[in-house]
Amino acid sequence: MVNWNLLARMSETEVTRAQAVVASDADRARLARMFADHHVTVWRSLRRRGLSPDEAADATQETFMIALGRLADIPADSERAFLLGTARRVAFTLGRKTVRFQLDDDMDLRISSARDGGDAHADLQLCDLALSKLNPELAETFVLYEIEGLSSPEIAALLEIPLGSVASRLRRAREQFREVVSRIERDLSRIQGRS
Amino acid sequence: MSKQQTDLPERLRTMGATSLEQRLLEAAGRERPSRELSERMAQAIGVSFSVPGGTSGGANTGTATGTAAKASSTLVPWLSAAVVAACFAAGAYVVTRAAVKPAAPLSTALPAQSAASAPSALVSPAPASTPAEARSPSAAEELPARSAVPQRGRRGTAGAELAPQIALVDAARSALSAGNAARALSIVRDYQSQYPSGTFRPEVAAVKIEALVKLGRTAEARTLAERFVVAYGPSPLAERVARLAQLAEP
Repeated sequence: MVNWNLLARMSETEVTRAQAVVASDADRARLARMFADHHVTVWRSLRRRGLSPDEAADATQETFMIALGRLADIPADSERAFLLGTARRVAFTLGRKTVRFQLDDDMDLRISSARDGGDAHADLQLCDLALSKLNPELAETFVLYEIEGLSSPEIAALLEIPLGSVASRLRRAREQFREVVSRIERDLSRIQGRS
Repeated sequence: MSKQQTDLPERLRTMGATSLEQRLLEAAGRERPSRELSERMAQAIGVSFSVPGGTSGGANTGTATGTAAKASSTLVPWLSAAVVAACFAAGAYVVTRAAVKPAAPLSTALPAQSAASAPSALVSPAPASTPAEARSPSAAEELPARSAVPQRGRRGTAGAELAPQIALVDAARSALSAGNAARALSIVRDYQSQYPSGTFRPEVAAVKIEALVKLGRTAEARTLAERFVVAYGPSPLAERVARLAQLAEP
């Protein structure tokens, strides 16, 4: 017997999600394409928030599972923005303390350790180190623009801020990033001079 | 609008970066998940994916497989929820679609308890009957201590419940953006009653604070904002809330 009371209590979204669970072949195909096109970007954006590779993978799959339930709401030209915005919100739920890097001020130690890890790995660690020194709000804008290559309207929509704020955050983020990298460079020279 | 966009500088990687800045940004831009991680993620969301020309890291296949199986289990509640919903809604088109395309491979793997643990968003009684709802909500309950923030979950239902929660958060934000603060407040109340321990309580509380500010209820907004900053600061959201309610920087 139909439980109409329960059916009436199901929100439209929940019905939509139930539909998504029994997704059509077309939906599955779209999700597969979205995954192929964007999962690296989503995963990488989560890594730049300080998540480990495994944590970023967990958050990425959670992001795509949410997308699966909302495919009908995602315009074809906004898939990347939707996924990055969802990933951002998922990241905020991970227990705030894990979202940003665990920091200390011992840059020398970190730089030395990064140097020992091989060039590519060292550069990546140093980049994360520099980002970790930025104001998180600025770092977020910086990563989206400078590393992931989003346009300013995309960033404005994703962060729900005016275009002018994107520009000002980016300007301040650059100043902070360049200052930190310059300090890293000085420390690298000093460490290399000692060795 | 376009002027502001053109005011954005060239990307640092293409112009003006020092060689170290260039190296760091390129390293970050080149980073990719391992083949195992990509395949694990694909498997968890139920799509097939192979890394073109990728080489297997191969060092941790067993772990990867085990993790993938664990991750796949997060889909199970979704499916069990659909099955339960479909049973209740027999005759509705949800059932029709389920009949056309049953999720056979995964549904056959459902443990008996999965249906019982299906997401409450779909199968639980009306939230009005929950004990939490029976209590008179206080400001303190709206902003739980940081330790009460639910952790993201591999535990099954968390992933399944996120979508409807996010839909409500989005709806509340859209109402705010459209200038309908009263509507946003109403959606916030819906969220807080449906998800007393919801994952996005901080985000919803932030929307509530912004809505109160827009409605001119600044004293309430400031009280909530002060508690918010204590519970969730320092964070970008706490900073935003503090700005909205014109508190001193957290």
